Amino acid sequence: MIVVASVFLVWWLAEASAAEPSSCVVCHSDVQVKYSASAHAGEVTCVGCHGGDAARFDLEAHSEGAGYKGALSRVAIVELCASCHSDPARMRAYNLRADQYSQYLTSPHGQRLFKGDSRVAICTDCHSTHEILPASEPRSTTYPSSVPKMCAHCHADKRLMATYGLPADQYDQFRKSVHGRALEEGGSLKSPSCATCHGTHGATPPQVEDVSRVCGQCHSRERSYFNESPHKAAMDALEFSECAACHGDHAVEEPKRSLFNTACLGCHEKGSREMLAGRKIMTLLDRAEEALRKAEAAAKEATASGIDVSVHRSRLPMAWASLTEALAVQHTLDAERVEELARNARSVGEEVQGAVHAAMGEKELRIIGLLLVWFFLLCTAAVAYLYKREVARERAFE
Amino acid sequence: MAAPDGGIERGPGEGERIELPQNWSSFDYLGAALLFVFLLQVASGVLLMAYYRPVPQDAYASVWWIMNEVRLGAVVRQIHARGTDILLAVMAVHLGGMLWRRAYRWPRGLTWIIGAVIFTVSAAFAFTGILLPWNETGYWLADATRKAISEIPIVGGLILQVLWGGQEITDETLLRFYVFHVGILPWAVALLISLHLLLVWRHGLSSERSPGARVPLVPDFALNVFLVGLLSGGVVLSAGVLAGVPIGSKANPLAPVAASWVPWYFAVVEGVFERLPLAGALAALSAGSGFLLALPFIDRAAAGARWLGHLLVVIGFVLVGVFLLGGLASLLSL
Repeated sequence: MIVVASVFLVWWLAEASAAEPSSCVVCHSDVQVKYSASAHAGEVTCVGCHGGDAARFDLEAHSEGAGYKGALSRVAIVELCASCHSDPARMRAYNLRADQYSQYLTSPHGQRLFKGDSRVAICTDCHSTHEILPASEPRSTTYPSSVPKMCAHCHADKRLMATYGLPADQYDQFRKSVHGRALEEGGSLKSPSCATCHGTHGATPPQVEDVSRVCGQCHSRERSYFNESPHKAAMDALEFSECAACHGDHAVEEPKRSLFNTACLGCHEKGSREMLAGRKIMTLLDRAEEALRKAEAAAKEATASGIDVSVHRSRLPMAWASLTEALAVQHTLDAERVEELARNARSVGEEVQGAVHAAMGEKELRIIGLLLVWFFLLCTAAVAYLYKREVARERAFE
Repeated sequence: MAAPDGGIERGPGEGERIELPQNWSSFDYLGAALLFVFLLQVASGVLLMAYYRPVPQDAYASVWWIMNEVRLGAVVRQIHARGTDILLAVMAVHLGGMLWRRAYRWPRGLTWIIGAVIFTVSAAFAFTGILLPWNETGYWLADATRKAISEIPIVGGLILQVLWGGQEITDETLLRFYVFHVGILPWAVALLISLHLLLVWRHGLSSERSPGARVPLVPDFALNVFLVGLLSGGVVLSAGVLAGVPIGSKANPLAPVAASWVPWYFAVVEGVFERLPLAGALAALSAGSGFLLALPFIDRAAAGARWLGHLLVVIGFVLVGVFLLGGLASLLSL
């Protein structure tokens, strides 16, 4: 009975498992390590891209008869990826778009590739080959904070860019810019990478008339206020790249009030009516910010010395919001609108400063009180000391 | 007749003329200063009790009220808070001074032991006070301590039940800390101080070992103590006025703060718990405080070897030094 059961068990277990054996990993185990951590693992097989016969364990697996394609040409790679990724029905289950290939064809990368230039970026240059990961994965080459470095791989290569007549300093400029620092150092994924402005698969430089739209995707209030300003029509007529004309592009800095002294001079003469109007807006914003900063500093100092000024301090966030709105409204060049907001912020700032200083005044009063107490203590000590000396003297007489 | 070992002497004649050894050093006045600071703590504490409300929903608001609306409320609260810092720091220096003087030797052994107990009870006293404003710093310090105690096997749960009124921080905890702070510990410390002073009275100051020149209690000694009282009162008042003690934000049990604040006098205790496993930390702390408590006995047992006596003093100084320097380091790193 036991013998029969054992034989049955051996017979039952001797069946091959359902998992398909792959001969590829016998030699290419290094590739398998990368592949098994990728988004394609379990979905796309080796044979799916490279052809061949994974069931054979000899060199025939690589034979043409087995449909082996080997390493693909650059054009073939793009077409191979597109064979799945441009099929909406196939991509639906993964919640992926299917327009990457058609977009790629509109970009200078795609256009040049199909004209025979194999040096331009193809799918695998950005996404890597075997270890492809979704862009939401922090280890991915296309994770937002990794994108600038990834683009820079080619676009910071001076020799390569020179052949296209393109500059190669964009990445150096970008990483020093307010956007680059926020993205790469601050880790803020809200900050734009190259792809945010230039697009991804359809990457192309924004045209002059598109710059304000591109910036306006995030800076929407600044864009709509700018569109109300006399600058809009004038810049369109002269084909100026709106936002970038004052703020720059890759090297965009945190906007400082000193821009009024430098950027305006690019078009307007010193002492002109326009320069004076700009100076007025600058002064309004400067004073409002100064008042709020002083109020914050005074409130902080008071809190540190144990005086509660939270009632006054709670007014400051609304005042800062007013100033922030004024900073956006300045793009209309309408000094009156800026003045209304900036004056509101400034007056709150000055009122809070006054209230905090009044509260701090109580501390000064306490210090005066303390000095009086010390005076009293020292007088008492002096009297006690004199009395003691007198007693000692009397004792000596005795 | 002369009291043994240079104690207080009642003179003949009037019958009530009390004399003390003439050569007390400044270390003796530190003890007097501590007494005055303690009395100031009691006085300022009683004033605070008039406005403080020991329930979580009112505690923070009542301390805010004291700080901002009550006349001189901020000064009184800051005197009370800074008084604790001064009390514990001066206590450690006083302890170091007495160590230097070998004041732990019998017959003053009991005086020393009671002094060491006062030191420990004062730290507990301070700890219960930190939670009372129900602000973030106090709440999370009490919570971190709760976690540490809950890990103590067998008795941990019981300790929390008695001191925290449960296994978590609740309304009960605040009320219990308040009861300990104003109802139990003040009496305990007052009793211990009385015993300490009684024993000092009985055995005399350790600075005088052989009968020498003596001075009357009144007016000489009393006047000096009066001057010490004026000075310590002035110092505590100045600290209270000049060094602000902000109340911070109200405790929010749902929003833990990243790094909980620890007062300087618990910096060493925290450091020990952070660096050693629980059993090691408890052993180290017990060894440290046990050494101070048992010092008179150890010293008597080691009476034969002179070098051992010196070693005991060195160990004691290391303990006091670690306490003060560790606290100073934590203050400077903030």
